[in-house]
Amino acid sequence: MKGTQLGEFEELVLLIVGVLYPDAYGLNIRQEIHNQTGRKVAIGAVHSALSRLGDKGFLKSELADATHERGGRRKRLFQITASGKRAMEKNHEMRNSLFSQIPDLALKGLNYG
Amino acid sequence: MNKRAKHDIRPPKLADRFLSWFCKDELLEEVKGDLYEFYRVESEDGSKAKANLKYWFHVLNFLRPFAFNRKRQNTNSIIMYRSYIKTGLRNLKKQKLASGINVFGLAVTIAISLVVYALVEKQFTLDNFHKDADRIFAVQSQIDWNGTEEIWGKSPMLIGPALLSEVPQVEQSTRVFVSQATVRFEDKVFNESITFADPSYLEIFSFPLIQGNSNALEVKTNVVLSSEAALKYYNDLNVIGKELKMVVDGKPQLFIVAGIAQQFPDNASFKFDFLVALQNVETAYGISLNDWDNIRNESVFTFVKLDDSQNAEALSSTFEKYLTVVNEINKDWQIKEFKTHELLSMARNGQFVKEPYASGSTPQILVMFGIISLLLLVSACFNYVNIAVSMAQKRLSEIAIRKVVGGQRKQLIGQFLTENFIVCFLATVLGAFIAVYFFLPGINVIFSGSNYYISLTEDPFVSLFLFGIFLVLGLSSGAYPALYISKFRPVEILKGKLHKAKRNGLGKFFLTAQFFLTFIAIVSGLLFTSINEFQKDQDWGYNPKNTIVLPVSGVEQFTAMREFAVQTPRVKAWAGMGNSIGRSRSQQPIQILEERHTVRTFRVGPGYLENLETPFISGRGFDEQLFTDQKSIIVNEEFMRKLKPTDMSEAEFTVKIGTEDFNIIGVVADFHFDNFFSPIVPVIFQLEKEDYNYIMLKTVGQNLTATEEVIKTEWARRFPDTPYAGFFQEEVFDQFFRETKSLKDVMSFVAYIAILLSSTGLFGLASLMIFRKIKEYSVRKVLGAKSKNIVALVSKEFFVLLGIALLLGLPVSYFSFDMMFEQIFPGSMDGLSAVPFITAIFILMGVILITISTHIIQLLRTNPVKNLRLE
Repeated sequence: MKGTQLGEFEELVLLIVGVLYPDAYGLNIRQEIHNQTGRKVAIGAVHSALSRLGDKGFLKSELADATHERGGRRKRLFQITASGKRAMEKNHEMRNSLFSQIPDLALKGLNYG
Repeated sequence: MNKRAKHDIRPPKLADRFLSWFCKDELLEEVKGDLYEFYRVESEDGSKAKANLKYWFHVLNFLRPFAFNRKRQNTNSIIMYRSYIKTGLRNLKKQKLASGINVFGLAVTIAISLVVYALVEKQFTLDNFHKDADRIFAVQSQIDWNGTEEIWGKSPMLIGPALLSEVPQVEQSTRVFVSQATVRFEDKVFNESITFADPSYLEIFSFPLIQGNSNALEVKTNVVLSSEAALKYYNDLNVIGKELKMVVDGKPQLFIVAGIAQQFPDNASFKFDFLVALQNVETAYGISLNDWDNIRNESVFTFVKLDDSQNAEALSSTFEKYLTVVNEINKDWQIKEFKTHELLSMARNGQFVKEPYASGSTPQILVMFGIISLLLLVSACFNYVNIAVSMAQKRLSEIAIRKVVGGQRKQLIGQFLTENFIVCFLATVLGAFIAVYFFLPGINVIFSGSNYYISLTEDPFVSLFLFGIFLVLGLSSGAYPALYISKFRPVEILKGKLHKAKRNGLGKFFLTAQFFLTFIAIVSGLLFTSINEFQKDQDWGYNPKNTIVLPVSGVEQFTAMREFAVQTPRVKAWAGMGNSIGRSRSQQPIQILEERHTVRTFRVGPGYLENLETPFISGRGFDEQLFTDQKSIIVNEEFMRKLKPTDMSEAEFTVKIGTEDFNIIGVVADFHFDNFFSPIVPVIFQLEKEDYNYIMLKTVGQNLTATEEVIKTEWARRFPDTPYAGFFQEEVFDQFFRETKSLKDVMSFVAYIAILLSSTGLFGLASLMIFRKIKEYSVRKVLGAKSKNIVALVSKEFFVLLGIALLLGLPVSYFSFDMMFEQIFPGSMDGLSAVPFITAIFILMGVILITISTHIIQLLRTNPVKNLRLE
């Protein structure tokens, strides 16, 4: 089984999938990433991340109905799984905990720097 | 793909197909959908071209491992090729002998063509390392000898400076004069070739100096050494400012080392060891640098550098003017035209120039090598086809099963082509290895002094050439087996009908063609060998035995050696001469009645011809006592035949040399003076009484080497400043012998390779043909056929093929070799002897018998029942 570590971009995609619930699919995830962060990523990059997240069990997906805009093709809608949620939470907690442990001085020092 | 044609929003079809090709099926639907939607938005917003471009970008961006179609590739592409390769390798391993033969045969021929490539390539890259080589031109003189035109590499002394000052397109010019001198440093004394040149020599030609300045030649007493010369004399490269003594034409002079040239590139057609200023020619030889005299030995090689390579034509208008001046002064040496020749092809065309500054290989020989390597390649291909087809016969069931379980013809072709490319790949690698580590060193030994090399890393063309050979070979030799084998009908194979129905006509054709090529190769090998033998037995026209010739400079050396000759009992007779037969090539213009000719001239002392035992047809030799002999000449038979006017009696026949008339006092029989294949031309001998350049010593007894030792010691004692440079008269053709021996070696080698190739091809085909008819032979055996009948039956087929090959090969080889030998060795033999041809036939027959005998013996030994019981 693949590792369950979340990469930076993976985490972003996972969050966006949550944000877009229940309508998250490849192209609008890409659009949302652009809207929220200003990052322009290739469609292939999004799909690649989605496929990795799927492999890790953080996402589940199903095919929706075909639409005209897509040339009669169906889209695959993604949802976060329970383990996906757990992984996100873990990341979030870890980050918060780490952040809170930083002494004030360090941050201030940083500001002066 | 996209059926919605009404809206003009179809993404680029090719990109779509590409995506479908590589992308996973389960991913395809959503990805395509996303892309389509994306394209739609993009094309509504902006231009279609831009949208297309973006579409392509995103499609290509999908080339990520996660998206690859693993499953489909598993069934078809990669795994299929993997299986091709795996099966191919297994097959190669299973049939070790056949694969070995194939790989080795192809490798050897690839190696040969690689070597030929290296030879040819070198000829075409000669001198290309000079900076702006395309703008450097040599000025040559064209001379018309009663209709026959000759190009001479040299031109008058003043033409270079004149062009430089009068033609604006000429940026630089340099004059070059090459001569011999004795060079001495401490106890090291050698005769060396000296290059005299204008200072601009080092600027026009890119011979960078590792020590000293490129303006070194502006000082008359400076000398620039090659690295080799520096090491030879000083054993050191750091020798600027050291003294070097040179004796040029008997006059000693001190030079100061002012520069050391970097090691010269391998493709330099000309180099120098000792480079000094041109003014030294004036001092040493008394040749004026400032007149238009054009007596041949007073002219120089002239090179000009133009501002543009296209401007060579601009010179010709000025040439006219100089022609008049030069021809006015030199009545005996009328130049018809001055010509420019580009530096890059100068050496390559050196063969067509008299006294060229530099010269490459003979083009005919290169062409010959090219043809040979091509024929060998073709031969190896034939071989491979034959063996591949015959081996496939043993895999018929495999082919049938493959087809029955659904293998398409395409896939079978793929299988066989893959196997073929494996063989070709191995052969190419092995061939490159053989070429670099065996053939090229061999070539460098055979053509002694040459330095051919191949570099896969430095020369991209070598890899390209190899890859080209690989592709061409792979496709051309693989296409037939692949197409032929894949055509078999599985039902017929499985029923066992096939080997009755099919007849391998093409295989027989290939074998015949191969016999034909091998025959030609054997004949050429034998012919070159016989030519080599022929030369050794050739009568030289004089007796070269027991004769030592010693170059001398100045009266002192000559007198000393003459005294020695008179005193020592080892020397029977002596003579002095200005030119030595076999060494000197001097010519001079003469006039008979009103006609001008140039004839070979030997200036010899009294007794020289007698000592060489050249038979006199009529008249007598020179007599020192007779004052009139100063105005007499001796000629050879050819001279009388060619040049004596028919209406003139021998007594009144006189020849004008310069302004004086000369009587002919004797006629000697023709003899060879260059080599056996240069036609014998008219020659005159003039009496030389003082200005001797050589002394010849006719020795007594068998041990010539011992006598030479005595002479050497004597020489070293008397003239420690001058190196001993004597040689045996018997050795004067050695260089030539070496050349023809090289050719013989190469051709014999080619013949061996050809025999090897055709016998391996035959081996493959024979096994196939016997395999096909094994039942027939078995039935015959059962019915009581004797061994010899079977042998006759089997070998008959091959001898029929050989017969056909010979029917073609005999006339073709005879006429082409007759023509070729006339080209390479003009006027040498009156037609070719039949012996090599007959020998070649016997060799081929022997090869056939030996090759098929293993099969036949096997056939005779096996119990016929075994073969018949199969069904």
